[in-house]
Amino acid sequence: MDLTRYADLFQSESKEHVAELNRLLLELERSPKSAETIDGIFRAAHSLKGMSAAMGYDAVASLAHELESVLERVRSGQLAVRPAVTDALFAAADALEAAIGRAARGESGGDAHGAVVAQLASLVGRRFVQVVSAPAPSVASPATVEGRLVRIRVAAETPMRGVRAWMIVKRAESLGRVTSVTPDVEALQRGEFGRGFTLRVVTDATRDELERAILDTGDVEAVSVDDAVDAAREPAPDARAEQRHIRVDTRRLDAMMNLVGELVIARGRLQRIAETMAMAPLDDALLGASRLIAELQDEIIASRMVPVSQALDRFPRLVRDVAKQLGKEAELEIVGSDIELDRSVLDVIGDPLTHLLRNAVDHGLESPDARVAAGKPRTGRIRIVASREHASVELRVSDDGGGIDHERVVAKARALGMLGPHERASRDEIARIVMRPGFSTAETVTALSGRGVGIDAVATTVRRLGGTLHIASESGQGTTIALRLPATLAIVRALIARVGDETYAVPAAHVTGALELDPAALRTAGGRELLSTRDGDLPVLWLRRLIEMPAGDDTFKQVIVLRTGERRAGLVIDEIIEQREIVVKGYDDAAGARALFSGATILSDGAPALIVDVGGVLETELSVIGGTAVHSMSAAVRVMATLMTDTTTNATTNTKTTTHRMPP
Amino acid sequence: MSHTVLVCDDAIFMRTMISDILSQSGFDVVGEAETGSQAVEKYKQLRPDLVTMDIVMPDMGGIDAVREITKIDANAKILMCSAMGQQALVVEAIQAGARDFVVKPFQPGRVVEAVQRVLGG
Repeated sequence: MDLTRYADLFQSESKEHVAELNRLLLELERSPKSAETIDGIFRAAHSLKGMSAAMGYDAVASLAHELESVLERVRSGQLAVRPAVTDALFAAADALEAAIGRAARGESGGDAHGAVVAQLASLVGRRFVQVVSAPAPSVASPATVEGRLVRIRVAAETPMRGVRAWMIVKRAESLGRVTSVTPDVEALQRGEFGRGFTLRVVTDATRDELERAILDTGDVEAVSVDDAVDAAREPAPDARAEQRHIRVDTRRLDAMMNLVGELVIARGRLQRIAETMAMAPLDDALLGASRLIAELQDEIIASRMVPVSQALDRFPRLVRDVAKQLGKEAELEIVGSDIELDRSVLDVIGDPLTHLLRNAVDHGLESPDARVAAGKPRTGRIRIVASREHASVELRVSDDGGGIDHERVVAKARALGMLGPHERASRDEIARIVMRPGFSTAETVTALSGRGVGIDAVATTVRRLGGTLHIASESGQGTTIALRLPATLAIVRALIARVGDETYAVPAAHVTGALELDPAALRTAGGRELLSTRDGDLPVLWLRRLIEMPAGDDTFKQVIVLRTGERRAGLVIDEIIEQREIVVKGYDDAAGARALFSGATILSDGAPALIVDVGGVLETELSVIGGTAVHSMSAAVRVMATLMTDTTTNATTNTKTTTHRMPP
Repeated sequence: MSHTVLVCDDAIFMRTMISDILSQSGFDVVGEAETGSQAVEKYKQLRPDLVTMDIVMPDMGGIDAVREITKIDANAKILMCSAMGQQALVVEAIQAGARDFVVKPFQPGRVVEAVQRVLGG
């Protein structure tokens, strides 16, 4: 039998088992007597043993076998779970992962895992007299849980999902008495839940009435009412188990995404042609085709979405290991792990998140003693909260450590010449300085982080994805870093704006509004140009100046109000042409350039347009620290030059197809 | 007969955009208001089937306008138009009597969906 065609399948499935193994080992460390956890670990090891034996991966199989033997002893109560045991099990999980990798590359393992195997064997060999006490009977939680269980799943692109969830709870309250909501209403309102939540309601309404009422609240993808009141096992509101899956090569998905992108552009072009022809039957046919294309696009986008848990699941283990190495105590909590992101975004975001977590443990959390002295619990708490709003996903990494040391950052910034000797810096500027390349406040360079690759590298990756990064820190309270990422990369909504003869696309996710520019409301203060609006002063930037285009004679100007996190600025352009979906094209990053644009797109008339990097532009606005503008015009021009050559190539190929169809 | 709508927003851009979206979907935009107090006055005059209401407006804000309008007509159907990040204000508006909300920047499909939901309920 030719096994090679199963190799990929083995790889992906065995990785899932190793991830599960790590997750359960962490659980075991917290509750060493949980029979359920031990059974789970045993099952994962057992599956790995069977799979690898079938593939002829003997090194993997023998490791899994040793692991299984140890667990057998734990299970039967002959071996108690102590730190030495969990450490050995963790080491075995790592060795398994390595062995799987080697097997896939066709390398023989040799005796690479001898030490681990010996460690495991010694645990089995030495007879421990200590007997694990029988697990306490699981207490049937709250004896009387009243009401019918309602599971609600909100739609993926729900705007202000917290408010929507609150409205759903309110709607349920209008039908009866809501006895419990999980997660609680406060967390729901903050949007801290995955795709779903549950509530219990005592009501006379029929199941149908209840479901209908909740569906009518809007943005509800699915609702189910469970009439059986069974409090003991309340399954997580997750429909994953019921779905059917096949494995598809991701390159296929990428190809489909590109094709549908081209199709969207072609549709735009057809629509423009149809407009000039004014033929009703053509319009009708095109409308039908457009709907189908839109549906196809939605389906393909949905097929590329994966839950963030795929990237986050390994982090509890990472945090544990890093903390242990540093003599700290840390716990990672992940909220919203079923929020979905495009695969390509998720693939890139793993490393930056790893960096942020290492930083949080290394620089964020204090030592256990210092924490106790400060009146905090010994164990530091790190949280990753994933939430979706509109077309973007926010990943919020926070710790309850010491926060950014304002004074130390200022001192270091002065030493590095980033700040003048007598200049002060606001909290926002401090956050910006920390993001500057090469800045690191770590006084000792540890093996883990602080090797000069700082948060600026994370910020760059996030920006390249079209996202934004925001830091908030409270001295003594901890630091929160929020990454806002587009949920899907390939197709985004954008405002198409004109400047002179050129068109630019501004991603709608960062636009909060638009206004007409009243020249009388403009003034300059502290090196910034401000526009007074009803919401207060709005710093403005002229796109025309950023791209160094000579002033035109247009008198009518519009301002697009941009916002990321707490930052706001107005981007002055000549005119907003339309709002539409654009297909994002990749581009070569000009080395060392401060990006004003995050990519390029092809408009329906075949002309290229650059996509404004809103995060970058807002930073330009805010980078006037102490009167020294760090924005470099020539860099922007260079970026543009590379993009223009890049997109022109695309445009040419696109025009070729057009010429066949265009009426003379 | 198509449903009548009063569009309230202080930005011409936004009013135009909402009006376009709604007219294209067969709704009859019978009036526009630039401030909260104008919205209340026009509501008295026009008695529209639905009001779209911006939250931040000069003179009288959208939430106060919702309170005033629901005082005049407890069955008034008001759809809030919020910017991103105004969660707390949206909650307040709904407590004041608004029926639903949409978030800027608008996606035509979502606006029409919300309008139909509010008119249906």
